[in-house]
Amino acid sequence: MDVGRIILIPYYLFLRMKIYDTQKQEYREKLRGGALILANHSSFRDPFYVGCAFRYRRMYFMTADVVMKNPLVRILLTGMGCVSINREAYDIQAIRKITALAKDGQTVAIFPQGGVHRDNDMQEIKNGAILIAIQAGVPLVPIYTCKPKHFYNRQIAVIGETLHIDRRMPSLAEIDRYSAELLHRMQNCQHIFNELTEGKTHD
Amino acid sequence: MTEIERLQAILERIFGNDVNTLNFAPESRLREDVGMNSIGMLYVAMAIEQEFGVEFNNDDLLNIKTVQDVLDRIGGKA
Repeated sequence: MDVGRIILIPYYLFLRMKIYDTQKQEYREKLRGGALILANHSSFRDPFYVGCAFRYRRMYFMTADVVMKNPLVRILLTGMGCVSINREAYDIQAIRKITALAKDGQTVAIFPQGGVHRDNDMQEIKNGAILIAIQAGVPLVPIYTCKPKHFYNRQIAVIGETLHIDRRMPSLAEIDRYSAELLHRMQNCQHIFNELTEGKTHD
Repeated sequence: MTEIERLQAILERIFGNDVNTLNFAPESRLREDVGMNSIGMLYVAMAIEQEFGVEFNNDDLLNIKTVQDVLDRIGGKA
């Protein structure tokens, strides 16, 4: 059962999320097939926001195992589609699991900053998502959103240009270049988000 | 091609000139002698899985220190 989308229903109704593309137009595309969603991570609400932005798809989340230590939380998060990963080790088993989901046509959200950055500082991302995209043969879709300052502000998200990796086994130097391009697209989403919310009271 | 040559070919493809394949011998340590970093280690493991049809688990990757350890794992000895 997709617990995640059931939990999202009140969130979606409350947030009244508006989604834009990088041309500041309303984002109307529907994501089809397997994909990795790459989102900024400035609060623990971000998975809910990402889920709302792609509410028409079942979403899986790459989640740090430290978050899932409590057995009850683990049951809930697993029901919501979270796949735990040990960030301190070579967690190839988790990567294999996420790759299989994406290959199977599912959407998996990854927060490539590697943790919560409350200052919205987006200067660096990890390369793991690129490795998964190569293995699964799926595109990477950047998204930027963060919480409105006041509860009555409408939630906004910006979805950036999809990055396709067509090389079967690129070198690590090429992966670094893909990563830099992805970061650039995420920063572009942030820039558009800031322009759209200028004068409004977002954090 | 022998297993060690196939392994070396994977490393050269992934690392290009950033890895020291001159130091590539069974006793070479992957980090210290070959110059492999952690993301590289994961990537190489994935490439080996595809090339040799083996499957690593997390403990394997923690325990693999040298080229010989990789060859042993490929050969099913680990």
